Amino acid sequence: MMSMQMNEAEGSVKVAEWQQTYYAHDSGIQSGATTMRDDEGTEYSAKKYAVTTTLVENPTEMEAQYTLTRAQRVRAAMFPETLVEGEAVLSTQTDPGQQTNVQRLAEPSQLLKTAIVHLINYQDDAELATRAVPELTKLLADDDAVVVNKAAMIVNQLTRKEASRRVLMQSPQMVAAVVRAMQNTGDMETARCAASILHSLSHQREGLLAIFKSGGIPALVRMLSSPMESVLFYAITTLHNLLLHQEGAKMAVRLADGLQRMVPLLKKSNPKFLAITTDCLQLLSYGNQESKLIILANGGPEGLVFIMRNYNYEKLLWTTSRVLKVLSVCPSNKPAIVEAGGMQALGQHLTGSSQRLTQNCLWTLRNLSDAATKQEGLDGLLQVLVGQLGSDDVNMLTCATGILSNLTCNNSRNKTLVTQCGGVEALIHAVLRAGEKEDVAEPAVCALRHLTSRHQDAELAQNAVRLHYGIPAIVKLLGQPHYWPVVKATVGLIRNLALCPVNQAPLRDAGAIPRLVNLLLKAHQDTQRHASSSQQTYQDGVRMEEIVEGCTGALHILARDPVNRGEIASMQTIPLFVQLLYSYVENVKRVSAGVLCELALDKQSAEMIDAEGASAPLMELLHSNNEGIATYAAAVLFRISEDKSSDYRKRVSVELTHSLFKHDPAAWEMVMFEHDFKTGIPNALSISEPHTSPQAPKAHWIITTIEAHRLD
Amino acid sequence: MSSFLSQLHFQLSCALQQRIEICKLRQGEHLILGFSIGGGIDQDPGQNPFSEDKSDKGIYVTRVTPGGPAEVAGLMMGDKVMQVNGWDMTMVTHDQARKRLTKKNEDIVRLLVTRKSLEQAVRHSMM
Repeated sequence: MMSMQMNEAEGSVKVAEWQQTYYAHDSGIQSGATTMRDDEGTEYSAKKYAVTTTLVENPTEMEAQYTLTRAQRVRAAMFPETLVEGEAVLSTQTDPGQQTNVQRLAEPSQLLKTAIVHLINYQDDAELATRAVPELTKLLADDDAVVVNKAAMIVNQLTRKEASRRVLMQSPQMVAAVVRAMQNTGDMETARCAASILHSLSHQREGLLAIFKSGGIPALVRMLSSPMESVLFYAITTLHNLLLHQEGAKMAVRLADGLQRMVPLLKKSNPKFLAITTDCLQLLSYGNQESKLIILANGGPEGLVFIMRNYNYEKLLWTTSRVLKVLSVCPSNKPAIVEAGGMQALGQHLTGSSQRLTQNCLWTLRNLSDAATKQEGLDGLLQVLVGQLGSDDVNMLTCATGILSNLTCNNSRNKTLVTQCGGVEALIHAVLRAGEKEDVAEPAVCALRHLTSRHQDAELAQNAVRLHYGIPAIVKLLGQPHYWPVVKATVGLIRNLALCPVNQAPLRDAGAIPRLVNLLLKAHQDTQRHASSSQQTYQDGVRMEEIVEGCTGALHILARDPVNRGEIASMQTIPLFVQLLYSYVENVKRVSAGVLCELALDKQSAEMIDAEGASAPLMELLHSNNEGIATYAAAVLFRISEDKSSDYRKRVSVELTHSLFKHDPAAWEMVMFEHDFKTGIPNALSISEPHTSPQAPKAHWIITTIEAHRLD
Repeated sequence: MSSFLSQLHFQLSCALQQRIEICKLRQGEHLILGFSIGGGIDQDPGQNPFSEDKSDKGIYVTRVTPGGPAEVAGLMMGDKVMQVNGWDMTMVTHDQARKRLTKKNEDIVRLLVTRKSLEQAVRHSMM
């Protein structure tokens, strides 16, 4: 017989080879369907064909003969004592009632191994499988664990070859039996075999469907708690394939508490295993808020950040960064990721060679950045981000500017650091390159605005903007067409720049004043138009009241320069400023009183202010609880009253006295008035800039004992 | 009828205020009056335990030393000090109030005070 001529050693070598290729399969992340494990099988088959076909003349006859001899070979291997040369024994082994087959299967492993050797060498296993399937299905459900084990091993064998695999996956009963066997067995080997079977079947659509329909998902999820690494590997890979290609799998995995079992697996140390696991988490949590919360509840953020910090395998870092990106839009996960050191960990991967990893990390950092303004240890990240401002990639720029804008918001330490490592120059270049792209321009300008105020190097930054030719570019951003968020940020930046006296002339030369005045007029008209309705007007998400306040505030600081003062007054702005004193917005009152205070230093402007009837609203504002408002109001009144009669001045001074006494002694220092009690006429020396943030009144109520009093 | 009411109102307004004359007591090198004050336009009025209106920044008597000149003169804890020797005390800082009460060349300090209990008594009688 042909099989007997077969070199057994060759066969066992093949078996050995086959066994060794068990674990070397690719995880199949991109598509489970493409990873076939047939290669070694077809190799064998190809060899076999070469040996046998030359001996037979008629193809159809060959088929019949081949079947006979194959069946004989099987029986020869399995039931050597019953073999008769040339006998037709086709029907025997498919008889379900025969216990002898089973007993033969349970023969010493030597026999079984031989049978397996021959199985490997069969070319067309489809028919064999078809006959064997019902039998094997029953055996898998047998009470005897050993039987189940052997049956599982054989089925596992059959999945190695495409033809027999197809037969298996077309039998729902077979697949269900495998699932059940996997779930119910106490034997590790059986579980491993069964998991391996399902894994093999999961590379084709029909197999996936069969597994899905027979309740494979809950069973596989349970296998995720197995102590055997190989079972874990098969289970997660199979689930991964299901999640990728089988409709309804995601829901089923969620229902089977898959997430709760998967998150703890993040503690494993095999990078490829982790890559599959994290990809599963991404598939399950994308667009599903509940899943994100379950991941959070099971310590997901810490596990994921740990991976980012400690592994180098690019694929794993990429899949993990994708999960973090998905979680980073969830308001509950955000602070947890930040607390776990997510910002620092993601920042490690911004300078590598993997473009997709860098981009994911940037998006994630951007999403997280507004929750990270109080984080420490971000120095390295900030420096890297400043470096990335040189990129031409729009996505990168959007992220880098956005992150810098958030991290410098109200954080003086970060502001100083960014300023010191050349952030101002880099941001100006980003603004120049951004052009019309608001997604870059707005955060870049906001970041510059942060850098130019309220930290130890603010003045440095204000000067740096001018030194790097930033002023003309920034003023240009106020031009048409208006994208209001950019306009609002730019107006605030100009105000900060004007705090530096050296910047006053360049700002004027760049045409800042007419642009600001026109914006102010336009925005004010808008607010007046909607004054009757209680609705506030929003344009691109910005209220026109904010533009009014911003422009007036910028003009206030610009007006400290005498030439600017003249220009501002010459644009007929005084009537508008006086009108703004009546605004219901406290800050608008403050900045308009402030700008009038500066303008009133010029006699002509002072007369105009008085002519506009500013005294009345200013008298009211004297009694304001806001120190800044009252201070400016007092100063304006004083300046416009210099020409008036002494009676008028006395009345004003009495009012001023009362109002000024209302404020803190500490606040007094800000307003360096000398008050002469005898004549009651205040002499204004200078007024310094009040704090931009409202101060709470000092909470004291002291008690003095009227006792100790020395006699002279 | 209306004139009677306005007369009554006038008397009641007067009764709301009390005049206290404190004779400073010499103790060695010190002239003492024997009471403590709180309040002032530079103070946080919300912390004044004696005032009814919590935005009232006036000067209030917080403590009266038992047996001291102030107690003898009839000053009571919780009195609001309206005037001292003719000087207005309703719109002064805490320190100004202290200074006005401790002028070296004055031995007698005449206070005009308002007392809550008086107000309450009046209101009660009007019901």
